[in-house]
Amino acid sequence: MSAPLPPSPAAALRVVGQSLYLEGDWTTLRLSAVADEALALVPRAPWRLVAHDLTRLDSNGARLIGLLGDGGPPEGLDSRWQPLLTLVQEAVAEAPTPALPRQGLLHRIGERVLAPLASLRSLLTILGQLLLALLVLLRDPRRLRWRETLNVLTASGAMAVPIIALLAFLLGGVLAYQGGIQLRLFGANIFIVELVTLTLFREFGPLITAIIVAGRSGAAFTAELATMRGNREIDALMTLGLSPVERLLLPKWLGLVIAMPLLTALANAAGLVGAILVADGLLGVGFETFYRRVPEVVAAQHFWVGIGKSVVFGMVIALVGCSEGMRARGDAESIGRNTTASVVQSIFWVIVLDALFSILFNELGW
Amino acid sequence: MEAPVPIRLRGIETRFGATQVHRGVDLEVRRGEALGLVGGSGSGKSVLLSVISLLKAPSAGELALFGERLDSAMDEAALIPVRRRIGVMFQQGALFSSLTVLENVMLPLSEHSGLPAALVEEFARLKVALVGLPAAAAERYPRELSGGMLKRAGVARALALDPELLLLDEPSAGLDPVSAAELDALLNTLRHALGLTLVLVTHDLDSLFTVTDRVAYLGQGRVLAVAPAAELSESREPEIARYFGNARAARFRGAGGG
Repeated sequence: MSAPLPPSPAAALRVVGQSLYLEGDWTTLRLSAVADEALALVPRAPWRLVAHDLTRLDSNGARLIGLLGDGGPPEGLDSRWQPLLTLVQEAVAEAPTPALPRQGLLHRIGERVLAPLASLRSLLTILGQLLLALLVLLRDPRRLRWRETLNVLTASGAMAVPIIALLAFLLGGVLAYQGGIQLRLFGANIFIVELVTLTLFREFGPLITAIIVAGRSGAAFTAELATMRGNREIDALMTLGLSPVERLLLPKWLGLVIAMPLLTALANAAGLVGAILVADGLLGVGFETFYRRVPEVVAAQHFWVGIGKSVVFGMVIALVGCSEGMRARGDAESIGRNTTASVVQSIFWVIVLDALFSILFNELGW
Repeated sequence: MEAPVPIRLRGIETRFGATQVHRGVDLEVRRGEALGLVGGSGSGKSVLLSVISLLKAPSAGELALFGERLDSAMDEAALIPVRRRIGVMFQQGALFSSLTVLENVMLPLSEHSGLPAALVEEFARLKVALVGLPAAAAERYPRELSGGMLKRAGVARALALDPELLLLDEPSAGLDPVSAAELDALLNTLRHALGLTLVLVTHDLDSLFTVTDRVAYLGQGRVLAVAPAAELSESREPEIARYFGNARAARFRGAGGG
């Protein structure tokens, strides 16, 4: 019919009565020309197949021929394609498509409900292991992996200083600005000192620090441990008789427990600087006023309440980060999923605990 | 109509920073043959496979695949038609861990073939069956498979588009002797039925003798010799003799101890 495209034409198909004439290259990348037509003809198979003008064949082409025909070779098929056709027919015949075990709705609901429980269980297990390791450490302090702990302090503490200082500075400024506008309406400019200092020290300092540390270090802990699991480094430690809890988890935990209050104190200071700058410009309440008034009207307990909370937040972030890392399977997908889970869960627990602390401290009158 | 040779390397040089891996590799792989690449550790077998797979650009020399000269200045889009004609099986399978085996095999098909989804799935199932995986394995995720099954799944994905050239990095490494022999037999079957050209990096003498037609020995940054495995193993060249001597000794020790 049409002039053949050199070197050989794409797959073509002609229907004549109950016969199909197969022409051209029946190879994967040239099949798309006939794919839809051929698929429409499959339900009416078997067809009588004629392949005098078939120029090339590969396994996918052979499979399509198998779907159209009765299992035997097409008429006029070049003998060099015969072994391929036979191989494909045999392979498909040996492997019937299995019925997939479909999971019912109830099954999936159950899984969704149980999954958080499993993660909670893993969290408690790791907490128990950490506390036991801590007891051992108290009895024999030389067992502390001080080098690893210092590494954690550097990576999670020192390296986080710029970002935490910057964000806390901005947050302090925003607090002073929003609060200052309201206070100015009442002419109560001077109370900006109490407003900013209390909210920063008690709530926002520890919270912003915890959120940044969860995103930086909690995620890093999870990814690191999950990758080590994938490389079987954790298994290797155990076969060498070394405790992964003592070597890997405890330094991370201790590191964050030390770094968090320090970072929180830094956030408080940086936030205060931001607040003073804004208060000075907006309300005329400058540095001297703050310097005089903060020790006078803000009891030290507010500062220590925030610092105390941040220690607990550090424990929780390290705990969640380690627990998710140890739970991961170590393949690429699971590392991503567990790292996400680690950050989300850490922040979740931080906020839940913060709410509980608010109630507790209120009852205690702190 | 004589088709051009699938692979022609002329004076290929590669370097990583200051380390020069290849200092002028000349090699020609004939259509339909199975060529083994051997050499000591660090002789650049896998790097050479990366060059042929168009993953690593050589710093000098000429690479021609299917008669088409390729140079590192070519942009990725121009390489895609060549890539479609090459299947690569990586050492650990390199299957995408978030996809099932079937989805792994379907991926290149649905991206490149323009075929309807029903056929893509049909063809992918054929590939899973061709490499001798049980049908149930198609729905599994890579992490649920054994080492041998991973390798087979890797071959299935490499074969998805029915490439003319199949590159394999240590196909039988890490497999037990039975699985390794099965994989060798599978490669032989597929190669003859599908008309494949094979290039395999391997340390497995059984594979060398049962699968390959010729073996290229890489040493000192060059191809020191290309010959059928039986001939090469008799080579007088000291480095090659040592390689085969040690490998053979290890094989006999293994056979005796097993």
